Amino acid sequence: MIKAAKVVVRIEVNGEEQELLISPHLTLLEVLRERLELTGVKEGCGEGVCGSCTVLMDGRPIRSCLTLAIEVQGRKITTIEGLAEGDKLHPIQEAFIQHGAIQCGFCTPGMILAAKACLDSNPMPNETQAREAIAANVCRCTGYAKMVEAIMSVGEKEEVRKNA
Amino acid sequence: MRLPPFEYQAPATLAQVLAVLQEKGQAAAVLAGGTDLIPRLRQRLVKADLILSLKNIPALQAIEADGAGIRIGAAATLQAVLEHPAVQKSFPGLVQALKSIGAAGIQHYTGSMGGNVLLNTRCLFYNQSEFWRSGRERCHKNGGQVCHALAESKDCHAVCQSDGAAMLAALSAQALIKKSGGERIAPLSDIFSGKGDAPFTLAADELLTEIQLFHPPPGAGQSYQKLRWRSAIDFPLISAAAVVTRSKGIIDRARLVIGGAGPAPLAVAEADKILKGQNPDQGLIEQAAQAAQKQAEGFIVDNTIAPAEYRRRMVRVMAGRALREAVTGGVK
Repeated sequence: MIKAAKVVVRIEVNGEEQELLISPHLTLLEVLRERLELTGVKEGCGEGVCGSCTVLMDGRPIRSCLTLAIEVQGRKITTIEGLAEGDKLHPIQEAFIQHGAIQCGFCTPGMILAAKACLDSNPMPNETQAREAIAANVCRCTGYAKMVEAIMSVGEKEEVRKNA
Repeated sequence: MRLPPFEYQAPATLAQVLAVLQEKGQAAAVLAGGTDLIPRLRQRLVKADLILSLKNIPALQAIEADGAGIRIGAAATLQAVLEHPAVQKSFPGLVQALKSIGAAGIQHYTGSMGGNVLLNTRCLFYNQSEFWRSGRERCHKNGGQVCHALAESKDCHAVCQSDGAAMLAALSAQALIKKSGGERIAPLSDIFSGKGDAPFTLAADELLTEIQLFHPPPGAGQSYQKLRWRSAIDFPLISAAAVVTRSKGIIDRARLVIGGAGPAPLAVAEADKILKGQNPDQGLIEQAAQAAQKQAEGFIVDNTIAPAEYRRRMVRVMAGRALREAVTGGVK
């Protein structure tokens, strides 16, 4: 059995600088859940297929189960816990609730973060683009239609608000 | 299942990476994006004492284009390749192939060009957890003597399901391979051994550092057609990559490569013989597609999520689709 020395890793998680002493074989998922107690990050398949563990790295969606924590040294990570401001939910979270795009909730953090990455670069996605945004995320309850509606509604709502 | 413990190094120079590879050989595993390596480590399909990360070597991520062609650093992300203007202009077939890999959120921002080419061969009976595999005898690819996909087989039939490899082979790409104190350039297709259990010809101290492509002649049509259940996430069950060059309507060269059939991308030389010098009609394209099926059939066994017989018959369909698109100007 290899006994590798622990290393210090600095990661910015949800806007907070974290300094962690970790073994090199820990995944980002394990560090987020077990060391930082950010349990909104879910482990589904553990093979990079299902998308439950999706987090944003420098604004782009990645699989935290396929990423070594040591590899994200110096990067900015956003988890679902980083979206709401106090009690005020993020507009995408609001939209998912309003459209009933949630059932068991296990895939929801990954879905919302994948949607956020899409909406940040393209605030008014069409249906194809909204579907592509969550193509890497599997949901076993809802059937996706309500999520696609929710994602498309965020931009439309913003547009109405701006024009009001 | 957690990852096994390992040591980790992320050298600052390519020379250091190559020196470590020379010293450690097979005990070291090279990490670029990790979308193939990490699941394989997790399933205990790779045993490595040392993970050698390429993340601190920006030169390996460079994409450079000039009048002759384009050079893609092996660690360049799929997204970087997809977004590069010179790739979009000269190699729309490669864009089509890379877009089909996984789904944007999984592979494109982390998966690398070199990693996709060197995607290890896959099999329904091999790419499973250690626990799943413990219920059966060890197979050829796992250090044993049997094949669960084809009874009595003395060889491993694991499949090359890399979309990038099939398209790059059709585009006659070259590979730049380096080791401590040396380098060589080989046709990309030469890095595939054709053996399912040891699919690559690279030595343990060698590293694929760059993919090189020459601009295709004007009017070359390219197409990549992929059969899969879902439009995202899935590996190809069968794929066809075609590059067809025509002058004044007559075909100068037709390169057809079948992916997802055997342990290496399968070049169909017969297609070029049938189409060369011809002004192609549907009959000739069908003939070339049938030649592809005839050649690929023997390589296809029951080791993916689709039945072998279905995949055999779909070779003709996918080859026909790719050739038709390539002959009529190709994907834009």
